Amino acid sequence: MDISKMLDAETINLHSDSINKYDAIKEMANMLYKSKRINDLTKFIEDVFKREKLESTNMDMGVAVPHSNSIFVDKTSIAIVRFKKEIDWEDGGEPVRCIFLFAVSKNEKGITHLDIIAKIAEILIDDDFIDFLNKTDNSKELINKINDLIGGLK
Amino acid sequence: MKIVAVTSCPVGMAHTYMAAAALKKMAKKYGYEILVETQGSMGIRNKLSQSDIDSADIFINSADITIIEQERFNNIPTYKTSTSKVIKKAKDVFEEAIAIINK
Repeated sequence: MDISKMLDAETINLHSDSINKYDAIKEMANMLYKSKRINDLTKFIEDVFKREKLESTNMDMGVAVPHSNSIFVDKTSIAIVRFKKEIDWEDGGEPVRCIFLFAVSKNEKGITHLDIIAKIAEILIDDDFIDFLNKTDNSKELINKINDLIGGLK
Repeated sequence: MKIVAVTSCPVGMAHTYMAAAALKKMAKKYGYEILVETQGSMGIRNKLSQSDIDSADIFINSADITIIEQERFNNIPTYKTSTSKVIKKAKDVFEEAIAIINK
C-alpha cells in the first residue's frame, strides 16, 4: 500500500506554533493548498468546521482528527501537525497535541484512498504509535512508521 | 464471551474505523471474542451473518446513524453506545455491556 501520494514532508509540521484549532486548521489547509491537494482554501476550511460542528473530533488522547469529504479536495491527502504547546479544542475534552487532518476527495474513484484513511484512523488507537508520534522529530521517519503499521493491518 | 458490534458515523471516514479498532483492542485485553462490522465510507465491511449474531452473548451497537439491516439484531441483548464513547472510554463500554448480560 502506497501512502506517499497522500502524505509527504510538505503536509507535515512537527513544530507548529498554532495556538488554537482555528489557526491550526488554517495552517494545515494552507499546506494542502500550497501543494495543490485542495482547490478552494476557504470552502475546504468551512467544510472541515461543518463536520466539526456535528461532533468534536477530539479523541481525548492528545489527538484530533478533523476531516472533510468534499469536491474541494483534488487529491485525497493527510496533513499532520504537532504543536509546540498543547492546544484547547474548545470541546471540554483533553488538550490536543497533534492533529491528523483527513482531506478526502469526492471526485476520486475506487476505494484505495478510503481504505488508507480507514487504516490510518485505526493506527491512532495504538498507544505505541501515539508515543512515537509525540517523540519523533523527523517527518520521513513518521511517514515510514505509518507505512509499516498500516502495511501490517488486514 | 462473544461480542458482535457495528460501528458507523456521519461521514464514515474516521470514527467508524477508529471505534472498530478500539473495540478489537479492548476485546483482546479482556480475552473476549469479537466480530466488528463497519458501515462506513467503503460500505459494509466484515458483515455479520445471522449465525454470527445468534451465537453472540451481546451486541454492542456503536452506530451514530441508523444501522443498515438493523433487524438482524432484534433478538440479542444490546448495549447502545456511540463511536466517540468507544474511542474515548472503551473500558467503560465493555463493563457496562457486560453488566447487561449479568443482569
